[in-house]
Amino acid sequence: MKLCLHISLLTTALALGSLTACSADPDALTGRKNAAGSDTPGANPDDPNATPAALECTVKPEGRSYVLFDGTKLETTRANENVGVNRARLKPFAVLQGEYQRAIGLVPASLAASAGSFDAPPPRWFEEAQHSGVSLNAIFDVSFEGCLAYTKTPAELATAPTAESAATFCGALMRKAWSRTASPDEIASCTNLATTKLAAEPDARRRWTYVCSSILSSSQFLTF
Amino acid sequence: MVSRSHRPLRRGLRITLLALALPTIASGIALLTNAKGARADGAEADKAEASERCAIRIAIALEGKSADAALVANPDPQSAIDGMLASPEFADRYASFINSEFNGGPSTAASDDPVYYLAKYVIAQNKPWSELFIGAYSVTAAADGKSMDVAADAKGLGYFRSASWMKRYAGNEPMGYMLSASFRILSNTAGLMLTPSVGNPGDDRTTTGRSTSPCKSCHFDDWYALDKFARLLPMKKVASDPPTFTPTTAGPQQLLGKTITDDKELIQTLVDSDAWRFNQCRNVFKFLYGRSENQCESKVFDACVDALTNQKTIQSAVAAVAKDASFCVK
Repeated sequence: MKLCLHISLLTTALALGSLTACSADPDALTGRKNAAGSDTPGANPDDPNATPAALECTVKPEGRSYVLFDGTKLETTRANENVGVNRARLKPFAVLQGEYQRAIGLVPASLAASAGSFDAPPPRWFEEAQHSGVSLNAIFDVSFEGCLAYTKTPAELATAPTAESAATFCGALMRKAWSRTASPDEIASCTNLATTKLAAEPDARRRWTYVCSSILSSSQFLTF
Repeated sequence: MVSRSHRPLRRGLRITLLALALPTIASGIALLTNAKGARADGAEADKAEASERCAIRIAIALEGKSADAALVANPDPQSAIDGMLASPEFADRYASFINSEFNGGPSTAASDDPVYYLAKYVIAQNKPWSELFIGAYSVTAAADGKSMDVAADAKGLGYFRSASWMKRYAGNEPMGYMLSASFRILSNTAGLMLTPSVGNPGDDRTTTGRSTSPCKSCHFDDWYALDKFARLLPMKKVASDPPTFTPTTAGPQQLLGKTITDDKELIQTLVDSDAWRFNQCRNVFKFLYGRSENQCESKVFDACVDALTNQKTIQSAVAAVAKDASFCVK
């Protein structure tokens, strides 16, 4: 039963993290038609890897040219993307300790032991952080443990979430974890999780823990 | 045998990252192009939040660690970049990054990582970045075998003449020409990307075979003619195990628009080129952004090249990109 709830919450966390993308044009980032076959302006059916128009560089500065030995202009290999596009990178495992400390004021004890679930690069080597199903599950487990401690004592978390209390909790934790103010849609989704989707959980503090865990498993927390 | 690669940069990784990062990317786009869509309250991101995100970004990107409380509270976190670039954490992180860019895979033995140790030395000593390639150093295994020592050596040529690197990229050419090393030199300096061609059983892989189509273009004709480059490098003694090397006797080669007499002149010519500056700054972008620079970032890229040209150090090149306001735009 708990395993089912756990998996369900992990799915919810990912869905919460995807809210912004889902609420916007689903084709905007990929240039591909979505499952429903929408015809997004900017999508290029002839080249699914082409940059959608919405992401293209709008004001191309006059940069210098760099010539290879055969006369090839090296700058022609640059992607046509705008400033601020294609920026999110996954936080490496090595920084999660500090990130948990910053977001919830403590480091889950199981974090260190979960290192094997993450593909940390070998010594003297560098690899861009990636996540797998294993590491995402570990993230949720570690977050859950941290959130159990985070929600253990505050008096206001002794009672089940209401729309108002959930919005306050979600907004405050999202601000800390994401370093930005959450949008009303994001808060509404989080509130819905706390008050509706988790209604089957009888333990009030445990409900808050799940809400907290979903925020700490979201892409907004896991990227920089 | 090789063929030109059209390999997209870590496409698989990029797609995986994109899948997980869609919401954040979408948020960034929305912030830039449609404030109403991104924030229902219609307000722009408040400066404290932007500074906080910037602090987290530069701490992870430059030092591989979470931003401390002071940096998070700093209203101008980019003012801390110079301090970060002088830290041992940055030296280790950038040397590790370059090690992964300049080698085909990680080495299990610390005594076999001359690129890492020389890069770290060059950064820590605030030396010109070009010394990683042409500096007069020896890079040898430390006595305890757990690291490598860098020492001044008039016969040195960056990491290219270190025994460890030569052994790793000696290759298996029948006559002992170091074709693998030739490719690595071109890749690490000028950013050349090639995909090895397996060929068919029975193919003539000798110089004669490589002199005919379809191998000829990469091995003898193109500007990166691998066989010609290899003739400027030491030759591996055939069937020597571990590999030992003898000086080349092939004489000067016509390459890169001039007559080149030895490996030192070859590397110097490459390091003096546009291609070297471009490739080093592309690496700076990959380090800071996790991707190459794009068309909209050409001015910042030029600033990186200017810093590398005028101030010489890789720290100055990294600073030119990381201190630009666009680095903290999301």
